[in-house]
Amino acid sequence: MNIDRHNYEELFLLYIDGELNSNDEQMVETFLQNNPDLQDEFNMLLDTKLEAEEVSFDKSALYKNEATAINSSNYEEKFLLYVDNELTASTKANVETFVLQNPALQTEFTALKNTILPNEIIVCPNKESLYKKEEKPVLFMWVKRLSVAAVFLLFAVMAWMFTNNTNTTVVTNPSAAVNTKNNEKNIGTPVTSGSTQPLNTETTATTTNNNKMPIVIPNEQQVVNNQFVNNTNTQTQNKVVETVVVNKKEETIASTQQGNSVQKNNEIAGVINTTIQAENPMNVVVKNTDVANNTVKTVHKQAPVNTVQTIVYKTLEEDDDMTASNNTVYVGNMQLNKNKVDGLMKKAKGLFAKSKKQIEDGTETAISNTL
Amino acid sequence: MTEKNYNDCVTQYADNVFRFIVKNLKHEEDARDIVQTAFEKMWRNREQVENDKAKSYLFTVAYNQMIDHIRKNKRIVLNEEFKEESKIGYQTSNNTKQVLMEALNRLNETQKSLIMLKDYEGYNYEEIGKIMNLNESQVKVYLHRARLALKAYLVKPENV
Repeated sequence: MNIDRHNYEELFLLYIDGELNSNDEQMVETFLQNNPDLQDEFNMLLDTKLEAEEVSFDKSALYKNEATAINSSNYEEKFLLYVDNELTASTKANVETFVLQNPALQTEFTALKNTILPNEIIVCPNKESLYKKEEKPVLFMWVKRLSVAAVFLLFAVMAWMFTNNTNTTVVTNPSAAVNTKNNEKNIGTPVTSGSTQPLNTETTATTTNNNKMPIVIPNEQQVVNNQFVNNTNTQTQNKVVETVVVNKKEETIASTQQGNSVQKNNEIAGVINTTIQAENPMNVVVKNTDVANNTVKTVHKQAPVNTVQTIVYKTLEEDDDMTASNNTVYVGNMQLNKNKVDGLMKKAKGLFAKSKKQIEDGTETAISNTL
Repeated sequence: MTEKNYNDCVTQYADNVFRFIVKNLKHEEDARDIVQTAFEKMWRNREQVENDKAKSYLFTVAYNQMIDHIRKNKRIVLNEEFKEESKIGYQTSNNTKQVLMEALNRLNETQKSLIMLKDYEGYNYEEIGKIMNLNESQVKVYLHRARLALKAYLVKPENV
């Protein structure tokens, strides 16, 4: 950067402010020597520069040191800090000692201590109105109501079915195990069911087991039933749920039936899982449990609507009416008419929908009344 | 802050906040409204308020609400104060606590709040400064001035 007669004012100011490096300062001084007429202007700028003045100020009152001993010049501040509870225990003790040593200051110290507000208990009125409770969504409430209504309806339907079941007979034990010692029968029938009643047969020496294999029914409208069939003439109509039985100690007879065909086997008693569906097909899951000395495995397929398949017992009693009918539903030991069950289910559904509609209508009416 | 934390704050701090406001305003219904407003605001902002900062949050909100309320009703409050001063001149009381309350009522709302936050709630200078939007030095200076004013009233011959 070069100095000339067009830019010298700015450089003079920078020189006086001490903002130029040594080379630039030398350049300005050389310029002044070459232009003596500008020296007066430069000197006037120099005069505007302030000199640092010597000032003395008492700083002792500004120092912060709690350890500083209380004395006659700082006692008031110490008293105030004491009253504000802002002193350490040792400094507090020093203040108290100082007060004892200076009785004239005791009145002032006591008066300051009297300005501390005593604890006063005041209860907030209507504090209960301040509490908050997060509201659950309305849908949750409706689901709860509907589920409670559904449970009540189910109980009512079950009770009605039980009281009207006058034509059903007790079915033989579906959970009987096969006794292969009885060679005449030659039966191996594993049963998977929750029933523990003994098999009611005259000729078969079947031993009951205590298998309590549960059957999980995913749909409340579906009924899974294990049945001993004594009729050798029954035929399957639709899909079949097969049961595989394995008898470890004695003869193992496995009966499996698949497809839409009926297998008649007079020498084999099989367990039939019948599934009655009101509307939709279902999957029945049976857990494996130990049945006496037998392990029972059940393989289930999707059961069709209204299917019954029976396997023949050679020597068991026959019930022509029930076995010949395709309208039989077995619930535990009860034999029920399938058509009646369907009607009941439809009725329950209708009641259920009606109650729901009533609730909705009631809500709409309340809303319309408030408007 | 969960719902349980909020309800615990109601249980622990509602009385304290109400005491602070009602002593300042000397009006129970207005104090109740301000306390309600403060808790409502904390409920609305419960996601942002930490549990250990809840008390100072409540006092901050309540104090600001109180100041707004005082500024709106300043004209009415001033007339009432004149009446109270004339009453004090003719009353004599030997009850130190009552005299102290009278002395407290003579302070402005800033000084009154400083004294109550210090003595009732035990806050330090920094915490008081955050609640009242003052720096620590200001808190100390104003508080000490308030104490000296209270002391001066207490030692007056007619009040001793």
